[in-house]
Amino acid sequence: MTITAMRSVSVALLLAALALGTISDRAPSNPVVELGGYRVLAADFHIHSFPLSWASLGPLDTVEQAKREGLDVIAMTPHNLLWVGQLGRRYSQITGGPLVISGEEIVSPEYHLLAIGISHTVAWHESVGSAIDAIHAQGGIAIAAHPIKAFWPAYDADSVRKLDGTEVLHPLAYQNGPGYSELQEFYERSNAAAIGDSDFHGVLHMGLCRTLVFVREAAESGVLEAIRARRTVVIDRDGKAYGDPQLIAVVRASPECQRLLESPAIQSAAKPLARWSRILGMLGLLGTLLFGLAPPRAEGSRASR
Amino acid sequence: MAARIDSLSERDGGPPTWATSVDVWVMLRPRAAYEWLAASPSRAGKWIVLRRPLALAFLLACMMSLVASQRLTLRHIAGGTVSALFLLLAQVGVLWLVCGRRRTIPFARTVDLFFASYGPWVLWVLAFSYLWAFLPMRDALKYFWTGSITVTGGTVVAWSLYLDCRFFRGVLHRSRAGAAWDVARLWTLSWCVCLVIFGWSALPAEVARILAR
Repeated sequence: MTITAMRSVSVALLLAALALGTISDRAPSNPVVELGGYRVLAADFHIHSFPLSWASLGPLDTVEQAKREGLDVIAMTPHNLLWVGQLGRRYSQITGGPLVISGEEIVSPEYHLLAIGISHTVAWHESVGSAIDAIHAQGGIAIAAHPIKAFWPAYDADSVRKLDGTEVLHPLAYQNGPGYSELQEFYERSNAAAIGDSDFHGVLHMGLCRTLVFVREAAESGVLEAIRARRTVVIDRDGKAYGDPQLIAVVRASPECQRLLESPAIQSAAKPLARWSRILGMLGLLGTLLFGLAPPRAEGSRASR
Repeated sequence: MAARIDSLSERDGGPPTWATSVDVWVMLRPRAAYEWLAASPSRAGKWIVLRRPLALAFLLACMMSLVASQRLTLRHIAGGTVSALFLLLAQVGVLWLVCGRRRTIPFARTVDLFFASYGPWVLWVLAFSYLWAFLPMRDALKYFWTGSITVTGGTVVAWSLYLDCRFFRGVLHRSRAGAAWDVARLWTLSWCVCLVIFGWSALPAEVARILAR
């Protein structure tokens, strides 16, 4: 087979992979789960988008991805700014996507703090206590982002008491190292709501770590109120549950809640169309690199001079 | 005709038979590849200024799609191509600044040949995409955050630096010291642009953290 033919095959493989992947890329409809007078929502409160926050997916694509991950609520939290999240929220309102809460991840030299449901950025050079006060003054909530040991010195007893939530489950918990136990230890020190977040930058699965929120009203104000009232449940990699014990019992007994904890995108990726899309896609990409845009001889014309 | 071209190009130190593409040739024999390519004016027009940056943006977007949803989808690829183009077009601008007026071949051709040296980066990202696309997510995490990034990334950086030096020597006829200086300027400016586009909003806090150590 000539190089030109191999190049054509590579392009054909890529196109076939693209067609199969696009056909299989459908957003499932999330079941409405109501238990004990509350609506149960699957949420991820720590999501980044391109540009400026080390993420690869743009804000519109991020919202589309949230639909496919079966998330009812996401908080878009760019680093130290708001407009990317506000753009995502607007897009979701127009297209009927999940509930998008605008916020920011306050990245300071001493701590990382999620500020959800705010309308103005909070200065990153303030102490964590002052930052939490500034968030509360705007009616928002403050969640300690991946509070591993390196960030503990920033949190004195007063600021820990003021936190609304803390990430007890984060992708750090899936890596080798002490992250898993440190997140749990910080959570046990606090009286904050248990939060599971994926800290999505376009690389990890959005919603890999997620929070079940028990709301009275499926709106931004309802979600913020539920977190303030500590009505959240998180189940970690070992099946250990965090949050209100009564709600944990409800989640354990409810198959619908168990379904909300699973990512439909991960399930969909295991199906044949998606599997063939990635197999053909990887072969096509490798072929495109090996056989290039044109053979070397076609890229120089010394012979024709 | 093809046989005549083969015999002439090989006699002139042209592409060996194993070089299935310019990218492969540049990756494995950068000196010979760049010297021959620079001396062989392309028949293509000015449009080639966008050819490789666009192809590279598309490849990167495919990899973003594989990583984000374990398949190739139109929505990821459309958005990802736009995201990647910000970075790649900025790099074209940086190259224009570094090359200045000392170019020996048209700028469009210079850009096309420069982007042919991205092979090691593409291979690296492809390998990680493979990991993400085929391993269960929770297993992939264990590989992604370990020393594997440092070791493999370090190799790619060294390989890529060498290719860029060869580009400046072979295509722009710089001396060894001149090529090293140009590569240093190019990498510094390119990484600054990358930091701004991807991570500007947290940069002041990160700098403050590093300075406080």
